[in-house]
Amino acid sequence: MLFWGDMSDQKTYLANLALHLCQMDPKTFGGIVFKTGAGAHMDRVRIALSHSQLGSKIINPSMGVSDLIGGIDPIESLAAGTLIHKSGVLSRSGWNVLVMAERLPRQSAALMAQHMDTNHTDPFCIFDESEPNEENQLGTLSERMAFFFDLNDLRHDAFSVDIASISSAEKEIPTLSPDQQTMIVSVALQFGIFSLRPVAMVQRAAQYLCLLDGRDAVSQDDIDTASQLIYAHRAISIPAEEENANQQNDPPEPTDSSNSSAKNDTLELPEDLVIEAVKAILPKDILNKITAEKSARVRFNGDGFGLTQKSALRGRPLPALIGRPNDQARIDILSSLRTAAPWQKLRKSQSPDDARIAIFPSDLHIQRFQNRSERVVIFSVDASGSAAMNRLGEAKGAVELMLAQAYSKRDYVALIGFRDGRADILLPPTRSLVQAKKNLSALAAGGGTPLAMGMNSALNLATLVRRSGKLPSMAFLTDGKGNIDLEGQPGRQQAMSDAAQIAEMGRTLNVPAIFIDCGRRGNPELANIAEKMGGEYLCLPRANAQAISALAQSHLE
Amino acid sequence: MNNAFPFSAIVGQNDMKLALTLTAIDPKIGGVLAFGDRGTGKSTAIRALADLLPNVDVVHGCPVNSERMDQVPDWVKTAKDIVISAKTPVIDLPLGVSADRVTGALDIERALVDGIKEFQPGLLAKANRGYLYIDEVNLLEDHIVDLLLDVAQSGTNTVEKEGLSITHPSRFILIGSGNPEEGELRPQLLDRFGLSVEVRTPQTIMDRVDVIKRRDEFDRDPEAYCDKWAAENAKVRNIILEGRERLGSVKISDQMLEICAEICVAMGSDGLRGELTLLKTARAFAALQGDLIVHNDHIKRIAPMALSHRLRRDPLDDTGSTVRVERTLDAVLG
Repeated sequence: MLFWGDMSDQKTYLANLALHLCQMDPKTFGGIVFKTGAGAHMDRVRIALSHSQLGSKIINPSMGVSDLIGGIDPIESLAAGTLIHKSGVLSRSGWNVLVMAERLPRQSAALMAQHMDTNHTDPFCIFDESEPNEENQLGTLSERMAFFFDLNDLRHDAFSVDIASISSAEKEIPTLSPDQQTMIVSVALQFGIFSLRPVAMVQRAAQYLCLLDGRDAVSQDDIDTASQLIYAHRAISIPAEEENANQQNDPPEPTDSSNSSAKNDTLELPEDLVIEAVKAILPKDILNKITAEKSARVRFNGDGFGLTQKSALRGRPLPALIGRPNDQARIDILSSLRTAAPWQKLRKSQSPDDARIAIFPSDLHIQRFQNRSERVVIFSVDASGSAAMNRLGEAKGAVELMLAQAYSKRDYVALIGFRDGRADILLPPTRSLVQAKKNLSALAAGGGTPLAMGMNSALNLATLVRRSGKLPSMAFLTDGKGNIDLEGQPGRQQAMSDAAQIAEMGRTLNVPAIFIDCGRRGNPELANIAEKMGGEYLCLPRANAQAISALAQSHLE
Repeated sequence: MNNAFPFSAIVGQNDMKLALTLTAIDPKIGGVLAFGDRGTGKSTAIRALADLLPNVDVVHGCPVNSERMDQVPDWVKTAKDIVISAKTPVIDLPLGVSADRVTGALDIERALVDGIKEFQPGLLAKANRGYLYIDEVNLLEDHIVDLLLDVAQSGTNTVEKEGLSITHPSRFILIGSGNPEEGELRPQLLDRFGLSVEVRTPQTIMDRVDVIKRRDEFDRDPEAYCDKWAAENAKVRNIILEGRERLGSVKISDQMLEICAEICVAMGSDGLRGELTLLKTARAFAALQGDLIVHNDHIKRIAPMALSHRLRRDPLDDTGSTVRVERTLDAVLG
């Protein structure tokens, strides 16, 4: 067996395996995503890739269509007097190293995915530099990337990469037995992976692992490792313990001491072995997250945070469009020149005057910018106590109503629920009604009121939103009777002073806010907090969905 | 290009396969929109369609695939007076495509080298009498959508730029696929699609195992695998051809027309387009099934795909649109 790095250091081992698999069969595996900030890990991988057999080239998120998949080369065409096409960066050979993937526009991601489907494309190595709790923007591209590694929590010396060139194995690819095929299919289902692409990837990976090891038949180990590589980061549910009482030994769970010995013998089922293997490399907190709330779903299928339909991040100009400049539209000189360039020879032959560059009206391009940032309305809803279900229901209705109009308004909506010592993001910023419905279907209510926590999470989310170039605004739905403080301890006094403190903090961030008081009588304390935050206060005892959505829309402009 | 996965080897996906077959029988139904999660095989099914479709007669060298010599636009100089049998065109419209590439523009190469002003046809010309496929249709740039909307409606592409004035027919069946979580589709574009289907992965383990088995076999030796399924594909092709022949003689009774209207009214679907699509699709489905009269069961089977994307959206109603269609169907048809 080939070994890269120390076997005990599992992440290094798996990552190296993954890199080699990508190199062997880029069509099946697509590539690998590393979640890491700039630093030693990234440098090491990039150096290794550039020295590898394939070599490497850098893809920058701001690259346009013609850079990526090719187009006319205006300079060369002008010089040569014939039309010269340049190939895009994707069709050149070498690892496609995509840096700062968190800034990649959705459309570019889709473009790359299409290129992978229809042409031979060398493997990708994607560096996602987003914050640890932020979601990636890769969308359809991340589905096609077989592997994912989070390197944020690794020490700088705990990771090394070494890409050996593999003499392309001439041997025939071994087949999986029907039992093994059934096994990988059912394991995928147990982890809540419904797409069939990962299953095909696991099958192929197991076959290659077997080849690399020089064996003829795919073994259980191959399947274990392949599943670890491909299923682990895609898991959106954990095989239920109670349904399968025989698989008790969950390594990350500390509760297995009492009855593990009795169950050990039943672990021999190959399917359980795979499940155990995958579970073993899941991050410890994943179990809690998944079981705690269904909304976790969004987080683990790599779906985006505030999915942009168009790249509309602030400061990013849109592609230039043919048109006449006027008061509203400014000329884009570079694009216009680029369009005119290939024609110069022809035009000069037609008009013998001495114009150095002949530019026709049809060449003119105008600049396009997003003249208004997209807004994200963050609803933070008090889900405590008896009136909670009602309030949540109305908030949910408001969210859906706003989304229904989102197409024309270009707004995003997010929902945070706070109750009983916790504040959860129930719906990350989204414009998709489909996704919203999926996440809003199960909402829990009851318990104390951690007002400060709810405000805090809303502010944190607002900061994230602002960093991605959109304009956040917040709407709070609560009766303002906070009784749990930031630490999660009960106590009315502390709770309210924490909330006031958060409000002061919020003021410095200058995020528009509106407080909708749903208590039976107005709560002056809440009005006070709203004022501290620089937000508006409204008392609306019987707010319904329509009213809330209308209010949020009109007051947060 | 490499071989596409054989259409008949696709496991499950019945709605999707049916919708594609129906549009092949009656192109007037309009396009198909396939919405579903990632990795459900949307693109696979559509790319497989090209191999399946019956050949069409085209004038050799005609860029817009004209059927007879007298239909060739006058700006075309390459057409020879020979009619050949060619594959039905299935044209990919990639994301990030330029407007010039879609509508066609002045042929830069000819202009530069020979100094001749000549029109270079775009994708809309190539797709005439065939299919235009847009993957990730919900991510398409707005200005490209604008172009498509007009052409899809009128069946004619007009280019007025760079001193050119060109008109050519562009009648195509629009096929779109996408993942609804990535973003919504513009309502006007949604309306241009005749049928819409939701695509899901097969649910049973047996089927899923089948999928990856077939995929593995295909990846090992695509050509051999396509040969293996050629006979099955030919069967489907014959069904389509028979369906086309029968289509003209399929009758719809006045009672059925009333039922269609009643369904559309009950559903509150906007405009008459829904009703027309419902009728055409029901007729095509009857032809497919070998029936000469449209009856209730035909309508029941195809109504969800013809209407589910035309419902006025009620954000507070949680049930999926397909379910709502079925509910109404049960109420109307009893």
